[in-house]
Amino acid sequence: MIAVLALLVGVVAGALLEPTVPLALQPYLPIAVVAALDAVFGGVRAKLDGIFDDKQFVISFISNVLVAGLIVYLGDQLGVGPQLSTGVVVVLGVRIFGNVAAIRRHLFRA
Amino acid sequence: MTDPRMKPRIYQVDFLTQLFRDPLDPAYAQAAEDRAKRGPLPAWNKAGRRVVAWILLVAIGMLFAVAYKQAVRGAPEREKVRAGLISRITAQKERTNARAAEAEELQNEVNRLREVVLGDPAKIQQARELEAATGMRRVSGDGLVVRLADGPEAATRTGHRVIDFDLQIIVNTLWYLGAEAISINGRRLTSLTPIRKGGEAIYVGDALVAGPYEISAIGPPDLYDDFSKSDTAKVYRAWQERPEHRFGFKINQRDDLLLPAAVMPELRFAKVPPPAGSPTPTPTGGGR
Repeated sequence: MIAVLALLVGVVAGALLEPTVPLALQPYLPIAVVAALDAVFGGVRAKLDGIFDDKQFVISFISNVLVAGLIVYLGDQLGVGPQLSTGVVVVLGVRIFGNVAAIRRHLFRA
Repeated sequence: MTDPRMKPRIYQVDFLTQLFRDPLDPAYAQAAEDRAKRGPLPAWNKAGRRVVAWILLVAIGMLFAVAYKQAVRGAPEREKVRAGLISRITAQKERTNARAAEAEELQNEVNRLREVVLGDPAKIQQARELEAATGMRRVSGDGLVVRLADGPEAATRTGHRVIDFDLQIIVNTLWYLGAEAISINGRRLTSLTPIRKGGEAIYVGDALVAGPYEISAIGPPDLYDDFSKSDTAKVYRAWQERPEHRFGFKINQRDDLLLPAAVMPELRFAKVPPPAGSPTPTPTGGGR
């Protein structure tokens, strides 16, 4: 419950404060969003499975964002940025779908 | 071998299969196992971790909001670029029009000065008539206006687009029927004015013209009737209804048409030969 509130507080704060993203980091924003979605849905699913762990959640998010960003950065340097971005989005997208399906099974038993 | 982490780690070869089968980060299960073995953490430690997780959630929320804002902000940026391009196009068009008006004024000035130099009224009249016939002078008279427009789906269907050939065939029909002066959208045609295609657009001479196209012609009194009955008019009238073209096509009889002078074409290869019986041309070879 508090977790949902914290998320909402963050959204409102982001909307009101309008922090500026450094230009160099802007290309990584979409990837960071997908990685964050993955962490959030993974966390919700773990919670429903009864094995949620705060430390695990924090570490998984940070490492996801860093690895995804690093892959995209490397891809940009090698000239295959869009392809590697697609790869990252596909892998994280599969995980999001799988976790959302698990959440759905938990909530609706279907 | 009580601790599972002490086992030699077996790496999952088929990473994607594993990912599809169980998308949850296996670390969660491992952490739960550890917890079950080690017993609950001290309360202060647990609370600290919880607070860190909340802070992270706040950060994630901010990330969502910022990314959304960023995506929304991109749209007006594009709109701005578009508006800038449009204003540049209009500015350039205005400049072109101003220059064209200037050119016409200068042309009139040149004509006037030449007539002053020429002096002889008979010669002046002859020069005027030659210029009117060749398109170098403004003319007025009775005639007709043919209006040809793109079909309603010109943006997506090439068949709905009027092409240079359509204008050429109408103009040629008008010449054939005895028209003495023709202009397309205010651009007077001379014997040297090409009607051609440049990319998607149509050029009359050097000027870009856009639909709807108005072809004004001055000619004999029966020009309107003759053109209305011509095969060309029949074809385009039929094409108004044909779904693959649906051009707009209209012929109007019009009195007191005023057609502008054409911009003087630059002759680069053709030269005026020396008049017969004149002394040999000067070494500069101008011929005059």
